Amino acid sequence: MIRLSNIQVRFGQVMALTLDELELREHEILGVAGPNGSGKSTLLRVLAGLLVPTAGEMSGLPAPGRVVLVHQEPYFFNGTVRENLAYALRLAHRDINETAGWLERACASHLADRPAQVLSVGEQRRVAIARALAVHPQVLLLDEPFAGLDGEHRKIIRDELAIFGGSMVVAAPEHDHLDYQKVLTLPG
Amino acid sequence: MGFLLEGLAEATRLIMAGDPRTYHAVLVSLTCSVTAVVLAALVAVPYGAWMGLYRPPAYRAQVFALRVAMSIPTVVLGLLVFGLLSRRGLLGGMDLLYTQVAIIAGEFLLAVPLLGSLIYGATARLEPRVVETALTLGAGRRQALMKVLGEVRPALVAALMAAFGRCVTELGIALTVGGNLPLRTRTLASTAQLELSRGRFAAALAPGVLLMLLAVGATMLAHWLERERQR
Repeated sequence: MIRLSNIQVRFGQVMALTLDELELREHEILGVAGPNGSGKSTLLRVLAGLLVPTAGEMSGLPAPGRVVLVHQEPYFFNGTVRENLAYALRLAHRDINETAGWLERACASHLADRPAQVLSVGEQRRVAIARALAVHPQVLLLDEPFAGLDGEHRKIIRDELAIFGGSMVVAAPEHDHLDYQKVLTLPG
Repeated sequence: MGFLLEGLAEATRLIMAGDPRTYHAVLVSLTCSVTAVVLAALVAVPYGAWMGLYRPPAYRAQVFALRVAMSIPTVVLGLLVFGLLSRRGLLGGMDLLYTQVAIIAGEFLLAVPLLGSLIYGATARLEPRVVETALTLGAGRRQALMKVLGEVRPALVAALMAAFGRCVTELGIALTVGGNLPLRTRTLASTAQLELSRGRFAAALAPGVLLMLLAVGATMLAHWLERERQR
């Protein structure tokens, strides 16, 4: 179980996140709600191990690669969609031939040879989630994965996530209809 | 203008005649510059990227130091290496003064701050998502750094070209620690300087033309490699 308590993240004079308590059990889906600037993305970066809090205690965080963050605007490296997935698979010491299967799950097989940096927002999110799932994380962190997407893209992403058996933390849960076990609301 | 054109014509004739001393100077210039840039890249590229991406403590002071080091005149770098390699210097026992190794050492010191500073600039401008994406997918810090260098490849190639250009054309180091010894440490730049001091303009222009050809050749090679990669 991941446990965070009395977490504070400060950037200079700006308090980016204050969090009293957070617990995330195995297979649990946690929504993180709150207004813009409340620290949702900052919390995800802390959980991903990308940001060390200014104060507070954390325990049970998996190693990098076992907890994967998908940004709201995912970044893709130079190269094709296939190459981006292959990179993730190589990092996870998995067979790069799995690329085709992951792209199929994201309804993105037709995008395989397209430069990854020119995808539409919806395509980027679908492929980024496929790339994250491909490394078989224990915890998946999604930063507003449904924001600004139409119904078709939302359905594809929900279907992609349905096969994931680990824990999940999703920022801005008001945008979608996943089966959250609990929702944490950060103060503005 | 006529003087310059006559000089160029004579320089071309000298190049075509295949003077062994001139072509040995080409070899020395290439060997020293390429070796110095490769060695400097091994140190400065990861160092510059590390500062740009991870902003270690006092990185601003380190960037400032790199920029100061970039502006040190080559003759001063030559004197520094001379002080280390001369008989009474710290490394005097190695008997490296007036060898190509001494020139490489000086050019290494010339290239490190230039490469480090340019790579820092290229990586510091990248948004955090780039390195975060690599790290979150399970890359170690070193793997993430290598991935990011792939993302700034055009800037990396430009930095390497700039460092090569600086090294292959420099004179202060070649003269101070190379000694301008014919068929040993004489480079194209020091050949040009020597011939000009003898009043032989055309003979000084010949290595100058070869230096230009080297610079154009290296730039074309870099462009070709980049285009091949994109195919």
